[in-house]
Amino acid sequence: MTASIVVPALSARSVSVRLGDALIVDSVDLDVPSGQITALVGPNGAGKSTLFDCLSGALPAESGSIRLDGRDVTRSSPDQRSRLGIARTFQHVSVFPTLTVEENLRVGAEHRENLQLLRALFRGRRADEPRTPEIVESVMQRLGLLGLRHERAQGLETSTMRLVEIGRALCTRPKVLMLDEPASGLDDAESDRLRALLLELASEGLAILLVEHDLTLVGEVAQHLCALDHGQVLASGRSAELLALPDLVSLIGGTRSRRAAR
Amino acid sequence: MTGSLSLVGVRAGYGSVEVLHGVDLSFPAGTVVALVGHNGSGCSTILRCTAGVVRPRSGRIVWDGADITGWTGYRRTTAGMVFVADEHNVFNTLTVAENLELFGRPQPLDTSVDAACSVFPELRDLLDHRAGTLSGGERQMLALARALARPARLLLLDDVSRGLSAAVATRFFAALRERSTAATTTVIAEQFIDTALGIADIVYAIRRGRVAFAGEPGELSEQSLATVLS
Amino acid sequence: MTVTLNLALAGLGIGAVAALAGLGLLVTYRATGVFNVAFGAIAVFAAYVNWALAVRNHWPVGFAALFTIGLLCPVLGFVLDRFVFRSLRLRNAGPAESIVASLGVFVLLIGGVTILWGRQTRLDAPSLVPRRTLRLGGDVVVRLDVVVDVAIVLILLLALLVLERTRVGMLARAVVENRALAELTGVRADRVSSLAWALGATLAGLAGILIAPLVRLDPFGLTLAVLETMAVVVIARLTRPLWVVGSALALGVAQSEVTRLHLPGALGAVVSALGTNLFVVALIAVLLIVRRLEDAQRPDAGSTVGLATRGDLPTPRYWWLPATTVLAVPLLFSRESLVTAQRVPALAIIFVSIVLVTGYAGQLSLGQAGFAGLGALITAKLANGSMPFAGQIPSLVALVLAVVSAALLGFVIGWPAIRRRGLFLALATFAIAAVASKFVFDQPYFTNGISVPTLTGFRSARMFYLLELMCLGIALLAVQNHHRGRLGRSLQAVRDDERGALACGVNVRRLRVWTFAVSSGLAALGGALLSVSDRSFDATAFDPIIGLIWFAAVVVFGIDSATSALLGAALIVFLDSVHSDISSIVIGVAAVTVGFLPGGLLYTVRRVAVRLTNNVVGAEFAGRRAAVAGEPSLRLSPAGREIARRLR
Repeated sequence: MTASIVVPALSARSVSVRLGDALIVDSVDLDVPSGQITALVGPNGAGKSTLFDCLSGALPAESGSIRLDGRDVTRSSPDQRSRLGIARTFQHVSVFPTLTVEENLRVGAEHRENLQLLRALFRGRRADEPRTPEIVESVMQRLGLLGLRHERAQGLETSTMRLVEIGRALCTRPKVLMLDEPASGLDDAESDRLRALLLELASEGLAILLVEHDLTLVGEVAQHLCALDHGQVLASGRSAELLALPDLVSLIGGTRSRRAAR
Repeated sequence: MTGSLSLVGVRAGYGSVEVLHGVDLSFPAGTVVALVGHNGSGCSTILRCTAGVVRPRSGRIVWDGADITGWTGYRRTTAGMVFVADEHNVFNTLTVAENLELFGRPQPLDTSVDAACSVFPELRDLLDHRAGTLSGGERQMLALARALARPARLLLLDDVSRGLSAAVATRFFAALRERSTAATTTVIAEQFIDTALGIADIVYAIRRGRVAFAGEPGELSEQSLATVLS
Repeated sequence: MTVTLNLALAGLGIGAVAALAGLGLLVTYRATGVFNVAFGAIAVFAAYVNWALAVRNHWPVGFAALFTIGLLCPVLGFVLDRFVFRSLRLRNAGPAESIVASLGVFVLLIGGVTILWGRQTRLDAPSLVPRRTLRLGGDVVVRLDVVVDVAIVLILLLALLVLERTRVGMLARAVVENRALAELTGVRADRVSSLAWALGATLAGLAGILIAPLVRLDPFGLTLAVLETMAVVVIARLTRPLWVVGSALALGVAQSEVTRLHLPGALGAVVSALGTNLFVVALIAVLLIVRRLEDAQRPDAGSTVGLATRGDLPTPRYWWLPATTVLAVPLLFSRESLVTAQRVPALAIIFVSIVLVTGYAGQLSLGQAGFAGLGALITAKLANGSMPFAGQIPSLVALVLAVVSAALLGFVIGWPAIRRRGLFLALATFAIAAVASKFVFDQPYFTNGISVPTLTGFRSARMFYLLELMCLGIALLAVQNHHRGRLGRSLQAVRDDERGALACGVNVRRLRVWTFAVSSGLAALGGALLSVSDRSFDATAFDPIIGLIWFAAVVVFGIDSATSALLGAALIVFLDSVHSDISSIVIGVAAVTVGFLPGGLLYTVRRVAVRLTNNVVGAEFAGRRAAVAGEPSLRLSPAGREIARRLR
């Protein structure tokens, strides 16, 4: 760590997760500082996705604590965490297939305040639609989705679905953005655009946590790196320093020749 | 052409999403064919269609002159096809030994175990463990053991080196080479393109559900690969 | 002591039958992944065939039973597998579709029984074993048939446990875990499925024939009695045969012991009902209380995704015309026909409540009959002044109060029930309906001397019909409000992808409970109107079995379309006015073929219509996709050209 005191937006302390009998994540510490990109790396089955699910609330932590901006969210449900400012994407891209692109983003944008269910019950057709929230417009603009706003998500290309998913996450106005293998399924040009977007978002103060196999991409965007193996932290620190260690890199899977993003 | 398999105008997909938009491919007998392409490009779907796990919406799959498009998985298997999928490729609730016994049927268990352990000695200590408790790499070895369990005429291997260390993957490919005969056709989809190009006789690059390149590995230079795939 | 022992021994009989039924259900579920809701109907069908052969055609009892169990049931199971469920499997249909198909089988079998042998109760079901008792020493006696039943169960359990350890057992386990992989390793998975279906149907038939002499032979009552035994399968978490048998025997004994208690008043009524219905209480208790209850191997069991339409057809211009016409025409009818037509809006309200909870919110709910019945009962009691702590209340106010209290009840029950997913939620809702039926509707204490009021100001048939239309309008508005705007988007998001919805901050649980409560209220409204139009409170009209038929009907017509539900209600009322059981046959046939009609009848009609009118949508869709994808060019190397040439 550098000398400057960075208060992490999201921090996990000795978090363990058990699935059935197996301890998948074994007392892991992780800090995700604001305005920077942190990458979570490790071989297949190291527990990255499980840790990810635990941080976002999809899986309960067996022990340990998770704090968001100093507030303990260990027991909060995934939707509460989302409203508090943790947004995420999924390894297998998750969009709402029967909704249009714009509606997908609106679902993300709308759930800061509670839905007035009783009022919604007998509302007339007229009183129905307020305008599209501004953030949806701006996110669509930013991600180049304006032309597709009325398309149903189910017909889109995988790469476009990824963008929609990221857009949906951004629309929740998060403090922490967690991306699970965002570059998989993207071609070179698209992953260049993703890289630029990530750097831009970080520079605006967002804390970004990234699970990624592609160490080239990690090296280019991430300041911090946390390497997991068998559920434990193998190494964590500045990514430039860690990526210079050949043993670590080979363990994560980088020794083999260039990996094609299949 | 005997021993060959071809896909003719195959369209396929999942739910409302069409992944393959009409592909024509040919896998000649006695060759190793590599399918390369991005995630979601349709390589896995091509293998799944060939194995009958996914039904094509249109088009035909012809194997040794017979139209096998409507065959059940069982019939394809008894005809000599082996398909190792990229996920859910072992029986998690069965032990490693039981898995191997099933893979090698009707051979006796010992034969199947020996065949598997000659390439993956790591498995010998795990015989009594349930497959669900293995690590991702160990499970992949067990899954690949199916390709070695009995002689096959058509091997379809999806995402072969997932979770494997480089050394183990190399060992497996060597064993595969050794066992293949003039009658064996092997089709692999591989994440590591250089590995795939190293062992293949024919390469198909798949892009967005269509064939973007067909030829020999040597013809596919670094640059052309990038342009073909992107 | 002697009494306790004797009661326990008597209870073992029911327990053994429950164990048989449970084992049959378990075998089918484990080997095919289909939770065969029809197993109760198969049992009843077998019991009736056995009765008809033995009593009507004077076959020897043993021979009749041998024919039914040894031939008819296995063949039935095989036919079901081959012609109903295999096509679903081939399509990789979702679990919800399988449940609907088995509901179709259910409706068909029950419809067949009522058409062939009538709905009346019969007491002369033949017993396989002579009605003798054995003296065990002292005053302890046990009936011979109980001994035989228990022996059959234990032998069967042993056989299953041994089978599990053999090679065949290993193959079966392989198929159960991963059917596709099993086929790819050369296992004839279809054969394993056929075998499991045949075995499951045989066990169900055996259970039906054994239970019939213990209770009475009537189509609905007996079916429910057998269906309730699925409690033991749920207690066994759909996995462990040993638990099935253990809990079945324990519940049988406990149920028998409860009959010793005699208490006065309402409590007494409840306790005496416990003596015949402990299984359903156990079912609901397990489903509502046990914390973790899911089938780990099938986390998606009960997902409704396969049932919903893809929303890819344009809304036709005059979509409202057919439904409006169907609803308006009865106003021109004579008084007599109008009275029949009064059932249409009432039933339509119940149907749209199912559209809301299952179609829009994606939760399988099989218990609407319970809420409908409660709505009818509460309305009548409030308006009669026979509700405790409430004086006589004007009938319209009573109606509103009934709807609100049913919604509140839905809210209270919904809170624990909603933790359940898919299949378990479906079972929980069914159990709610069964409890309401057994402990309230069937109890003279609650329903004796109840008269259903006419609604003040809406006495004439025409005025009442208009009132119904108004209620239907309000219900449709409420339901449609769950299909548009922010609420509609959120529900659709939850239905599409629950993880994703949670990640967006959608409070999924709150939404679920809410829609469950609203739908309960609507069902109560429909039920109340139904009983007013019938001029009586009829417990059999709100039987849980009727609720299952309703659910199947809504799915058949189109689970996510209120218009379909409306037209479906009209069609059912019309068919029933022609001949009393014909509608269930129609629903049954359609539900069995649900595999070929994704999205329901109306959607299928629309799709065909669109295809006939020049396939505009398809062309537009394809054009758009091509525009998005961009046509990639095929680059061929010399070797590639060679391969391409060989391909031609």
